Amino acid sequence: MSPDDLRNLREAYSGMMALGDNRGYNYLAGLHGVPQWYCWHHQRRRGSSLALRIFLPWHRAYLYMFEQAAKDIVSGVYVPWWDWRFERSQREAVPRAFADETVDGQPNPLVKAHISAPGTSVTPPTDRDTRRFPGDRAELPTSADVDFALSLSDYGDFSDEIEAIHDRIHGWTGGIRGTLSGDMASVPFAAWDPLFWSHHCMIDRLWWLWQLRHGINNMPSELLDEELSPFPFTVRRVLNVHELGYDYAGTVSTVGGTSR
Amino acid sequence: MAREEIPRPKIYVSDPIALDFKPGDKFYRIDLEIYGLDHGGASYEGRVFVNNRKANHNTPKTNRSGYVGSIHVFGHGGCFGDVGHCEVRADRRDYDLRPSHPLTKMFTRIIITEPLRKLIEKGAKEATFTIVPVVKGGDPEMCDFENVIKLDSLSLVTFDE
Repeated sequence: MSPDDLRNLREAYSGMMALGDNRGYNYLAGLHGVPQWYCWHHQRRRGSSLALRIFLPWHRAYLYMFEQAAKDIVSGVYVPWWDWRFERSQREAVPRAFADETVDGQPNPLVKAHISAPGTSVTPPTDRDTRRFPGDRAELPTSADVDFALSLSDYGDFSDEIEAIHDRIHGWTGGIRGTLSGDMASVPFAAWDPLFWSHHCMIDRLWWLWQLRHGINNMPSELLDEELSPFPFTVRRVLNVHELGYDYAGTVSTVGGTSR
Repeated sequence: MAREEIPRPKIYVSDPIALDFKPGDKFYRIDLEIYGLDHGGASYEGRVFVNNRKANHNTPKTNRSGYVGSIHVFGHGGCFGDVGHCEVRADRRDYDLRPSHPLTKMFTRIIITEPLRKLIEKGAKEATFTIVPVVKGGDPEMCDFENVIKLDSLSLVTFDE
């Protein structure tokens, strides 16, 4: 990620965090857990012991909607993926872009966000900043873990394996210190952590890499028309990331040529 | 609540599963399927050991200790709603077409082909699975750390070549 890209990201997140309406960070983060509870994790089809594996498409739609809101603030911005397999990631744990408290003397909006969520008759409102207590770097998933997941040809197998890796990263990033728990480690507040989006970008990227290997439309037919509430998409609609206007190229080398 | 007061999670030990196989039987894949796993509480890693009923939080994750893999649960973190918000009702109406409750107990699996194949090659006649939960996150005021792992059943599933 170039310095300009990172600057755009900080500017977009800051801009979203300043908005108190449904274009803002607080609103979008609140769709996942508190207070809207739309996210899909490990759910089952009603009346069946079978898993309803729309974890991947639901989060693709969520990430897409978030990135569009970010682009409304800074048109060229994109959410970067956090590849915890890189040697640098293993060394730094949380990437410095998301860990340095300040940048150019200003608070870094990629470190934390302010949670403002309503309470109920039994739980108080939440009005505080997010926090993280990352775990031991040796506990991060390895390339072997990812390679194994990508080798699985059945969508259900892959989805389960990648969701386990996803769960592991949530627990690792959140962590516990004393009586305090990091927000990434629990569903209600995870999406407020600015690193959440890059974590899910990596998960979405791994799904796309799997799709490129095993088939873009490799999805049980009974899932294709499942709706991804509250987003205006079905599973079928989010299968091809090109149709959503993005890609996960590692490098792009473009040249011109001459006729002779 | 002080950190030292947080209870250590209880360890789950399965009943023995008979291994009605013989050395030389060929398996394409062997899965440990976990049914009815609660994910309403703390996030945790469940370290799975085979034929090591004494495995605990200090047991290394090695072949020698019977470690076959881990499950990872991204927990709901306790109930942040009003009374009844996290209650999964069993009496849903036939024409209630809404999605299942988010806290409907989950299914997960780990693929344990190689360690189980080795166990069978050694002539083991049964397998007992111990799951040691290591909490990764969750508010101690909101989550029951001691009983973080709750599940209905385990199945060992083999796929023959």
